[in-house]
Amino acid sequence: MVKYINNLFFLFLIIGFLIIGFLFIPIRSEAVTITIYGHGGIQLVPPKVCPDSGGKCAEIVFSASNGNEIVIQDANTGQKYLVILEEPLPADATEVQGADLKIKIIEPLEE
Amino acid sequence: MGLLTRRRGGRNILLPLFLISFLFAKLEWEKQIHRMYQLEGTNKSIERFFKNLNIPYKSDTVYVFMVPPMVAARVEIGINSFIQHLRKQSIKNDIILLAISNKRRATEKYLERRRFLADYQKIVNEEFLKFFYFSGSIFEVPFVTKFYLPKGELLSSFSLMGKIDSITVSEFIADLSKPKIKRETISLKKVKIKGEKYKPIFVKKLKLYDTEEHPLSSTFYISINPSGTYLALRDNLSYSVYIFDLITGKMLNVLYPDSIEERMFVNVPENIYVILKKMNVLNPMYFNPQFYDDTTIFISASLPRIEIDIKGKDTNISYFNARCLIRKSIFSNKILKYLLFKQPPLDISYLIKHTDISVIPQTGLIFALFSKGWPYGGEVLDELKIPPEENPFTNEFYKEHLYQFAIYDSEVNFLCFLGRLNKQFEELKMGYFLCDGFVKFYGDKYYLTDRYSGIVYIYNQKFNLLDSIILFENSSLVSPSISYSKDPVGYLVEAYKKNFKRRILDFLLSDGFGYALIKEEEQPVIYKINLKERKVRKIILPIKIEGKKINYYILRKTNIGSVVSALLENLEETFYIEFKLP
Repeated sequence: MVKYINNLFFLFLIIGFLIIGFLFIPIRSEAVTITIYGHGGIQLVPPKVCPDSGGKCAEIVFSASNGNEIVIQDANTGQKYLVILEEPLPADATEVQGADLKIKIIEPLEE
Repeated sequence: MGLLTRRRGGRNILLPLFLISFLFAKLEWEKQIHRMYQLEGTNKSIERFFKNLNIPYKSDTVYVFMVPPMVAARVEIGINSFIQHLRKQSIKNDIILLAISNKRRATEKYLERRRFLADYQKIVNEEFLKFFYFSGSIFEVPFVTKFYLPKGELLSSFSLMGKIDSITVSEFIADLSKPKIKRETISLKKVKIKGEKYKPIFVKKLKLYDTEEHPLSSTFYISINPSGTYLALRDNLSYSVYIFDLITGKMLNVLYPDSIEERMFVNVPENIYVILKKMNVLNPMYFNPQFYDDTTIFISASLPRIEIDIKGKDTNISYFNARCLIRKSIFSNKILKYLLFKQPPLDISYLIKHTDISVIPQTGLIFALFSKGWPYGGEVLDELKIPPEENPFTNEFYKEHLYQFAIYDSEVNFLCFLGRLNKQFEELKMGYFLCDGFVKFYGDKYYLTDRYSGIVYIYNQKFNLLDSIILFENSSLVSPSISYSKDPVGYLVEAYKKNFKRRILDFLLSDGFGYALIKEEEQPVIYKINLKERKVRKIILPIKIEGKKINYYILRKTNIGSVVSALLENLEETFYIEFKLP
């Protein structure tokens, strides 16, 4: 029963997405690079990596356009959701209709 | 297909690009300082290990993330990104994450927090590491690996400290280099430590009761308040400070970086903050807690400092550590004060290591370790890139700025540098590889040691060197057999293992005697020195009691005399113990 209610809830949620407009607040980028700076050399006792600022420890490059988690906000209620975009965002989009989006909801976000 | 690939010209030119990169450039992992190899003769054991995981494998080759939980917390953000790259490049094989830790409950909590995207997540005992060799001699960063299960063979390994993008991931998918190494690359004789044996009689033995929400893992740092009523320890898996009541053994409070601290230096829009948090990018870390008085505590911390730079369609996020000193009451998580470590300008690039600080409540001073030069970052030594004054294998490195400590006042204003790099490190050209040390204050004098030289230097309050206490002398130095021009990390590790077998954990002055708690090889020992006659007595402490391993931490004075404080641990339980110094 609980499962049924949950499914129903998400069904309504998805229908809601298709009807109402969404204010987009994604990282409006194609490539996102996260660079971690720190003292990442080898330290034996105690083993510690990157405790200090300094050299480059790691660099992670990914596409923000699809396949990654972004946050969208319901323009009417203000509720935010963490979603995965299954298709790229329209270029320079700030506000689009829900119908233009192919998304997978991960979870509603608490404020 | 990842967007970067498209930007570089599309799928059809990807292959020629790889071929060119194979011909002219080092692969990303060839530049890496952290490397992992399978030990020869371990195939059967590894095959069995994977069978015993009880995973319904759908492929013979599996992608395995080997993770030392929270040892390189920030580098762990590469895990999910790497998985997403693998999936985008149509990898359908099983992806497994192994959290390698002996502390099961704390590791379960860690996995719950981190939300990794692997198909299977398993907690495995550190025993598994015995099948591998790590360039830095210990397992200290996460690796992504590829195993061929029917043969129990490691096909490829890559430390996540490098660059992770679609190109690296493609290279990794294609790599079949099978990194393998013979056992016992460095042969070291095990020496029996001589000294009087001591069977401690506990004056205190107390079980520490953690909670389901905050399970205790392990710790490098403990501190006890002057009255001996509270214990503070930094938990290695949560980077929080747990406060225990030393009368009941119950967890009194948990001090952790709250959302204010987490966001203090993160100046990005809300949506990006949320994404960074969900991606495990924001890792505020507490390190060394030190009681300032009976109820307040100083904690050295790294808080995330995020800078964002949007250029056209690309976003660059830079993550630095804001190095802070935080003061809290042990009863509340509210910050009483936070202070940023300032670094005085020098004409070289150097670091003040805020993680291992010595706080002296009597004078309000804070001592932090000075460090400069390679190995820093995550890359191998490149003599073309690194200036000679930052390269420990050159003479220029040792011409100036060879300090040991930076001294700060209680507002964390820089006062001066003090001490000098251990001369034996200079002789062996080890630079600041073993950057270590602490300061104690007895009477009206400071006692400084670098832990490895065996010498405790005594300074007055004007920082004039008055005297020194020699606890031990290292025998004549042995040069490593590995050439530093061929394998600089191997050289440093061997130089350390062959020459510096004793490390001072703590030092106490009491009733005309100096006591040093020392780890000699793996053997804990008390060195008791008569300060008038300068005679040293060695007392061997047990490694295990009642089947539990003892981790020794500090020496301190109490109403009943001077005691050793230690933790007695097995896989499920931790006890706090105290026994009188011999």
